[in-house]
Amino acid sequence: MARFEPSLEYLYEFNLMSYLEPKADSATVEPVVELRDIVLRFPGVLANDHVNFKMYPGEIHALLGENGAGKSSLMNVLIGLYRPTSGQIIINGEPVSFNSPKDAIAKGVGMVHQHFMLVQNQTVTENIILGLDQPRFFLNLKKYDEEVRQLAESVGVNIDPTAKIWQLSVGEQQRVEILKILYRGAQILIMDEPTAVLAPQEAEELMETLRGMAGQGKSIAFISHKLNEVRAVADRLTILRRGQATAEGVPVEGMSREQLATLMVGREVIFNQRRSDKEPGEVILKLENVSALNNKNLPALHNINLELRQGEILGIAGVAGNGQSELVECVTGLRSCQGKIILNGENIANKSPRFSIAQGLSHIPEDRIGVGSAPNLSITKNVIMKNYREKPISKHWQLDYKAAKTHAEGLKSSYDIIAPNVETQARKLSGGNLQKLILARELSSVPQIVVAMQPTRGLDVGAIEGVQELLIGRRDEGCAILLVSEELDELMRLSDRIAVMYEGEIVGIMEDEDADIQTIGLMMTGSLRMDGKEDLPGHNLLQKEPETEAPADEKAESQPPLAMADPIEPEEAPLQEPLQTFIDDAKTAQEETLASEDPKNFKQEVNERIEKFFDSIEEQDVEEKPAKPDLPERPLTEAEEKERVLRKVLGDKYPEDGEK
Amino acid sequence: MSLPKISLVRRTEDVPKWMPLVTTLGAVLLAFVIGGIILKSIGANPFYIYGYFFKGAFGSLGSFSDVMVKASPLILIGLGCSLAFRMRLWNIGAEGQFFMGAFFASLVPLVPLVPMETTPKIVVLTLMGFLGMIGGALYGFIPGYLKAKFNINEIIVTLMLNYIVVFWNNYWIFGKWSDSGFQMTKTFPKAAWLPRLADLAGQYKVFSGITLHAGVLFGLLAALIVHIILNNSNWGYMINLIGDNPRAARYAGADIAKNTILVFMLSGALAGLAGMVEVSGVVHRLQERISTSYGFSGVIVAWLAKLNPWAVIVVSILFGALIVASREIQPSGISFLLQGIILFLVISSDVLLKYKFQLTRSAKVKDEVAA
Repeated sequence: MARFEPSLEYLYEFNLMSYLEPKADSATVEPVVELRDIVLRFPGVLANDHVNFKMYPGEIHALLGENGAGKSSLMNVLIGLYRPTSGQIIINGEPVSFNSPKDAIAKGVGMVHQHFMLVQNQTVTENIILGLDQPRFFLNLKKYDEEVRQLAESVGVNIDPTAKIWQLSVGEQQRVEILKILYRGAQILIMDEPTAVLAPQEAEELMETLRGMAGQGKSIAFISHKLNEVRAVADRLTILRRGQATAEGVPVEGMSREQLATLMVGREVIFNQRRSDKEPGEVILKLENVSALNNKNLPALHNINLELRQGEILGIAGVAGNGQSELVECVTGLRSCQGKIILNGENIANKSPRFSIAQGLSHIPEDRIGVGSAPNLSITKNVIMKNYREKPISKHWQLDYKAAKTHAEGLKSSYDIIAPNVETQARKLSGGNLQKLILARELSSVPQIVVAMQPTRGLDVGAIEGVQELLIGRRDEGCAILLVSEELDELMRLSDRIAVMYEGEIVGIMEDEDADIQTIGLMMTGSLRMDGKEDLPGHNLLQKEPETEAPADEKAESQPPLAMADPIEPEEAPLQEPLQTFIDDAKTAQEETLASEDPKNFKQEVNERIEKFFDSIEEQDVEEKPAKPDLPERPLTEAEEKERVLRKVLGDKYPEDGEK
Repeated sequence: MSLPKISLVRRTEDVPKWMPLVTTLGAVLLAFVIGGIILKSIGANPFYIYGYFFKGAFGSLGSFSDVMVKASPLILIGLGCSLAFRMRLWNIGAEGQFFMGAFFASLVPLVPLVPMETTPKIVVLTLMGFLGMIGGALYGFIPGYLKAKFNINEIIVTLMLNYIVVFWNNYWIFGKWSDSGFQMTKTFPKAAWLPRLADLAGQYKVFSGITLHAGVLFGLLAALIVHIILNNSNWGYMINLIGDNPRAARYAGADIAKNTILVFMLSGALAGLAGMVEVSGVVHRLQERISTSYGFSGVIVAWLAKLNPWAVIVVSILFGALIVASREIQPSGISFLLQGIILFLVISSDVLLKYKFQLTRSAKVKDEVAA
C-alpha cells in the first residue's frame, strides 16, 4: 500500500494544510532557513499571519500565491527589508535578526528582485562589485572580470563580464543580478517572480540555471504565481493566501494544476473554453497593407491585412518581438505607419490617439505602469484619463473633481478595485488591482473595439480569471476585441479566431475549431505558413537572414515552441478511496449541520469525524513507515495535534482552557 | 552594551495632511537656529541681529512695502516656474524671459508705440503688460519649440538664452536709447508708471513715500489663475498627467508637443510680466541691471513652495524680507547665508515625509541582555 498522502482537497476543506510536514531528504538534514510563526502587520493589513517556512539545502522551494497574498512580504522579512511583528528567523540553526539586506547577505541570504537594480552604463563586473568593500581604492578590473567569469562558469551561466548592462537582454541582466548575489557568497537565493520579465526561452534557460545551482547545494526560494512554472521547477512549495499559508512545504510532485489553483485562490478555477456561441457581426476594423518601422527604424510590420468583426475576439499569437507591439501601436495611433487602418469606415492610420479614442477604441496597454497609468496620481485621476474632457466630469474648460470622484468611486466598487479610497496613488496598487483600474477605465466607456495587449501578464490566477471574464462579457455585448498574448492557453481559451505573427507578418489565420497548439507553435516559429504564400516570411525584412533552407519539420524539432510544452489537460491525482468517502461524509455533514444552523452540533460533528479520521491515519501510518523511513518524526503527540487541528478548524470558537 | 541603532524606515502609510506644513515650518525655524549659532560663533548676538532683521523687513509700513515690492516679481516668476515644473519642464530661463518682458514693455514708452502725452494711463499700462507677456512668451517659445520638435534639452537652451538677452538689451540701452551715455534709458513718462500707494499721499498721509505698486496685485491675480488652471481645469489635469507620466498622457490622447510649447510660453509670459512690473513699477526705465537675479530666485521659490501657487506667495514674501533685511545688516551676505540654509533644510525635510525614524536594537544587544 502506498504511503498515506492526505488529499489536498480534504486538507483544504478543513484548512489543515499545515498538518503536512515537509518532506526532508532525511530526518537528520537541518533546514538552512526556517521562518517560524512569522507575523507581519502593516497599518490596516496583516501581510503574514503566523506563517512557517522551511528550506533545505539543494532544494527549490516555490512560494505560490495571488498578488498581495504576502509572498514578497515574507521574503522581504527573510532578507531584512521588513522586520516581522513577531516570529523568528533561523538560519543554519542560529536565530538571527536582520536590520537590512546587508545583514542578510552576510548570512548568505540574497534576493533577486523583480525590477533589476543595475547601473546601465557600467559593465557586468562593475555592477557585481559595486557597493562591496573590496577593492578599497585601486580597481584592477581585469582581475575581477576573471573572477566573475569563473563564477559564471561554475554555475553554468554564459555572460561576458565586460559587457555594459544596456547591451544585455533582460534575461542576461537577470543573470547579472543572480551573479551579484552569488558573488557575495549567498547560499540561499530568493527569486521574486523571476520569469515575469522573461521571454519563454529565457525563462527556460533560467530554470536550467536554477536547477544547476540547486544541484550544487544552494537553496532557492522561487516566488511565482505561474502554476506550470512551479510544477516544472520546484521541489516543494508553500502556498499563501491572504497572508496565511494554505500549504506549508508540500512536495510538488503529484499536485495538479487545478489543485494548486484551488489552494491559491480558495475556489475552483475553470480552465475551459470560452468561445462565443453567437455569429460575429459586421467588420468593424480593417487593416489594409499596414507596414511600419520599429523604434530602431527597422521594418517591423510588413503588409498586414486583418479584419475584426463585432462580437468576436481575434487572438494574435506570436513569440514576443515579432511585431505585435508595433501592430497594436499602429492601431491605437501611437505609431505612424503605411497602409490603411479603417475603423467604422474612417481611416485612423497616422491619426492621433485622441482620434481613435473618440472613435470608441479602447486600449489595454502591455506596460501597465509605464503607459497605462500615472503612478503618482490618484485612482480618480487615473480613471478619468480618457474621459476627462467629457460631461459630467468636464464642464467646458472646467474639471469637476466631485463628479470625477463619484465616477471613480462607482468604478472602484463595480470593478472591485481594492484600495483604501479613490485618493490612493496608483503606484500603491498591486499589479492585479492596477490592471482592474485600467480595465475599469477602458471598458466602462462602452468601447466599440478593445485592443488588449497581454492583459493578464503577471497577474495571478484569480485576477486572470476576472480579466478574462470582463473581456468575454464585453465580447458578448458585441464589442470587437483584438487580443495580443504570448500565452497560447489564453488565446485558445478566449479567441474565436487566431492570427499568428512571425517576423512582422501574419502567417496564418485560423478559426478556433481548426486551431491546435501544435500548428500554431509551428507557425509561431516560422516553420509553417497558412496564408497561401510559398516563401517563409522574413525574406523581406532587413534584420534577419532568410530562413528558407531548413525543411519545416526539421526546424520544428530544433526549436519547439515553448508554449507547447505544457498543454492544458485535466490532471486529477487519484484519490484514495477511504479518504474520498471521508470527504464526502464530511461534506454532507457540514452541509447538514450548516443547514440546521446549530454551531454546537457542528462542532461536535467535526470533532468526532476528525478523531475518527486520525485514527485511520494512525493505522495507515504504521503500515507505511518502513516504506518511507525518511518521513520525519511528528513532534506533537496525537492529543496535541488534535488540539492544534481543532484550533485551526474552529478558529475563534475554540474553547479556551477556562471554558473547558 | 552598545546603543540602540537608529534607522530610517520607508513609510508605508500616507502622512497626515498637516505633516508637510509642519516639517516645512520646522525646517525654516531650524534654519534660523543654525544661522544663530553661526552668528554667535563669529561673536554677534543672534537675537539682536534677528530682531533687526525683523524690524528691517516688517518693522514699519515702509519696510513692509519694500518687502512686497521685492516679492512681486518673485511671485510672478515663481508661479511661472511652478507651472513648468509641474509638467517636468525645467525652465531655468525665467531670468531671460524676465528681461525680454522688460524690453517688450519698454517699447511702449521708448519707441513710443502710442503717443505718451495723450493716451490714458490705463491703456499704456495694459499695453505694456500685454507686450511684456508677449516678450516673455516668445522667449519661452524658443526652448519649448526646440524641446517639442527636436527633444533638445530645455535646461541648456533656457540657460544660454539668459545670456543672449542681456546683450540684446545692452545693444538697445547703450546704442539706441542711452540717457546721455549712461547705461540706462531715459526715465519713462509718468503715464508708463504703475500706480503706487505714494500717489495717494495727498489723501492719506500714511502713504507718503510708500513705494508699493500695483504689480503686487498682478502677482495675487496670477496666483489665483494658476491655481485654477492647475486644480480646476482640464488643461491643468493634463499638465499634471504629462508631468507624472508622459507616455500615459500620450496614450490617453494628450498632445505633448503642443502642451510643451504652451506651458513654456505661459511660464515665460509670467516671467515677462514680472519684467514689466519691475520696469514700470520700480526702476521706471530700462537699464542693464533691473533684476537682482529674480529669475533664479524664482526657481528656488517654486521649489520651496512645492509648486503650490499659494505657497509661492508666502515663500516670495519671505525671500523679499530677506532681500530687504540684507540692507540693514553688514555684511549683507548674512541673508544669503540664511537663504542657503533654509533652502537646504526645507528640501531635506522631505525625508521626514517619505521615511520615519525607528529605534532598533541589534540581535547582539538582545543576546547580551539575555546573558
